Amino acid sequence: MNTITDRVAEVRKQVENGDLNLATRRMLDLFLDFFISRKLKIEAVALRAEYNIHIATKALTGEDDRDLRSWIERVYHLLEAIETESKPEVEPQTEVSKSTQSFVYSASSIAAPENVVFKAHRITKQYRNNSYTFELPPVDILLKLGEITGIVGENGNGKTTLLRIIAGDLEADTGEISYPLFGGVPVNWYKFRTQIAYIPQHVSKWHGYLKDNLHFTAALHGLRGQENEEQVNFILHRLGLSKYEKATWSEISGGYKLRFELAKALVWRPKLLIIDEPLAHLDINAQQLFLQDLRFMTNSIQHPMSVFISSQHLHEIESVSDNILFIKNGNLLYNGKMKSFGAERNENIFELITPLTLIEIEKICAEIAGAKITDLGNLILIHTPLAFTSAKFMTFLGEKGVEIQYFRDISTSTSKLFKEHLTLNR
Amino acid sequence: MKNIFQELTPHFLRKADNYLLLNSPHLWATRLHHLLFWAGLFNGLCWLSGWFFPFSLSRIPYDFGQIVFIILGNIITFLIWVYQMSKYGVEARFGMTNPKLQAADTFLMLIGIAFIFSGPLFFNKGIKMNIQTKITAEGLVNDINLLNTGQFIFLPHENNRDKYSTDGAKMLDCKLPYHHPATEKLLNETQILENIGNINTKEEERKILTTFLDLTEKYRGYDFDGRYAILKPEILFSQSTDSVRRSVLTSYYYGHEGSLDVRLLNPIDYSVTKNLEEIGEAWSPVVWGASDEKLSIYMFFVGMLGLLLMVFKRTNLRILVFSAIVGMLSVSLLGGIAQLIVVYGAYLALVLFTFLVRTSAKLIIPIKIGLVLLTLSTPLLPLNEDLLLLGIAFGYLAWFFLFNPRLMHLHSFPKSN
Repeated sequence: MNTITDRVAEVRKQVENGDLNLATRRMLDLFLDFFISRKLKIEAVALRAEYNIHIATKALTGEDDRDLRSWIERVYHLLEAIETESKPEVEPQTEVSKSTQSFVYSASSIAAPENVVFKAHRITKQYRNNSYTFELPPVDILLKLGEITGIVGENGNGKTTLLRIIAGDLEADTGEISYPLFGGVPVNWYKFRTQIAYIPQHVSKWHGYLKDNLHFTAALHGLRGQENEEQVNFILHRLGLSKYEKATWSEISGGYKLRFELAKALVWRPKLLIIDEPLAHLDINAQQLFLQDLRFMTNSIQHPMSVFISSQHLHEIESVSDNILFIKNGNLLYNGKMKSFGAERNENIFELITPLTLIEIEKICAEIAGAKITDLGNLILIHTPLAFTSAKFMTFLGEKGVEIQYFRDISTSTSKLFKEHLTLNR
Repeated sequence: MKNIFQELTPHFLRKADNYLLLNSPHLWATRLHHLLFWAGLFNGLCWLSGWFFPFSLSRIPYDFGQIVFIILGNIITFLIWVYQMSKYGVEARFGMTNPKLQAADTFLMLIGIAFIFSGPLFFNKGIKMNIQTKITAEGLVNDINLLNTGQFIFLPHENNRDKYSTDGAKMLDCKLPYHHPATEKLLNETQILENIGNINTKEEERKILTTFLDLTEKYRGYDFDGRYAILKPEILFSQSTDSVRRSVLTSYYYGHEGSLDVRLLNPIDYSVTKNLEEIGEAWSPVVWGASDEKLSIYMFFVGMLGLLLMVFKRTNLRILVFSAIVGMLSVSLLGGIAQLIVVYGAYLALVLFTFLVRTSAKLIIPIKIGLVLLTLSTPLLPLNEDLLLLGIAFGYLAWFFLFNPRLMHLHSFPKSN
């Protein structure tokens, strides 16, 4: 979906479906991905601001704001204006008029992101003291623009260590590292570290107002004057932080602190974003929003970036990652494409929580040839032959009248690697 | 507390703050615009307190307790400013800075410190202008005649020695005292005052000296600091009529300001300066040749506080270190190496150690403390302070153009642990 027409249609559909939060966010993303006039951008930000006010009003009064209808009309008009100004045949290098004439470029001619941001071959790191020794196993990594790479694993397996090495904060003991998009191995580490964004697990306290900090960061990275003002306003509304612009560190929750750190990183559009355990302090909805925004930002046509993210929330990370690394007990058990994980398995594995006892489930599943049951205490693992898909299994359980409290197909999830008594069959 | 501060901030300052935030983040982070406003307000109050100070010629105090409160206020302002700057450390976040910006940053800080600690100067200025309103030109002329001691030398200030005629109307050869053989002998003489009269000199010179001695003895007041005698105006005050006091103050002015046109009397200034001079001497103050002593003292404190301020900016600590090193290396070349090897050796060792263990977080704090203590202790050593500060200035220049880019790279290098 690289043309502006497709993207506008996407937003329109979201509005029609009533998903106004997503619609307004994707509407703002149009301005990240395409060259659209400033006038329309200001209007889009204003519409998003009004929507946020509407949500706040609704939360306080419990009543619908009837003016939302007129607001939706204005959204449609804006989308129409964007489409009207769209020139699908214009080449990206066409000169831009500096007058107030609005213009739109189609992004279809812009090359899909193929650039390699980071490359590492067999990097290791060892910590040794009197009581223990830790060693990061040899790791090969390739980070590209437009891709999210997740690293998952148990505590103490080196996720943060690896993130810090990639961020240039920690030196690897062995191996080769280069940053092709930044010229290879950094000669000037100071300059290099100003070009990547690193959000550590424990973010440092900041002072002053949230918005002032964003202005400060943006200005330090070259955004000055009106451009600074507009970009900060844009990112505030895009990430839903506008109502906290006059908040200080102590006045916002952990989740919003993380969103703020993301805003500080994204306001100047880095090529490489490294985030350590971002989901730890977020509720479920916030996690979904965060990951969704991350995906959108990564896939930006004009400003794609590469994201390297660590987390213990396997399923959430897997849902957005293009590549995954799994480290367990000092071993790198998997390093590759997410969609390829489990492709060569010879069985399916399902997680199930049901009021039935283990014996009852075993009795029921005995009818499935080759099925194996494992009790993990809080849930049951059911192994079935490859041909017995999750759909078939759900149908089977339904026919047997089994009450399902929780079900998940982990056949292609790194979650199964956490189960110690399982072996990885690939 | 913060809201009160923001409520009090005037609109124009908030606008300036916003403009700097969006356009000059580095300058904004120095908080200099806030400092200039609030410190300027404070300095204005200092001036007003001098202007409205209630004193008369019969009651000119030797000490001004207000100075203490002014300096306390200056120190508090300084600490608040440093704290505000530490909150927005640009280097700590690896913002887009470069050596030129850091150089500008450093000099702006020195300007800020100089402005903060100029409170006493504003106070003195207010006092001076206050005194000016109490003296008329005609009164001065009449009163000086009362002294009728002929030509004599007043030495209220070691660098200014003027003679005036008995009618006070004409400034005589003001170069005379300075180049007078008698005064030159006084400058070079370290004997006690009573023995100065035994200096082998010409009769006319002796007469001048004797007159001076008589004058001081008559009013039973002189000060001796090992080099020359100073007639303390406050001694005369306590024993004289108002008219004599005015004459003495006038003479002091002539000796100090050197101009017939502006009839300012400044014993207060002198006494304050004297106090500061005494303090400064104990702390090995900067002597700038023929410059004013007050300026010397303040420049010294400004310089030292500027260096101390650098401690709070993490990467600039290394600038401090290198500048001090380069400065003292320059001094050692000019001032003799032998007595300085011990200090420089310790400095060099600390610097090398800093580099060797730059990636070890545990050692950073002790190293910083050691460097700061060494830097602050240098004034207590018998060094040539002029050259030291000149050397530090030279060091800053060398630093910003030669070493800083390299050190910034090293500072950003991935840590080993």
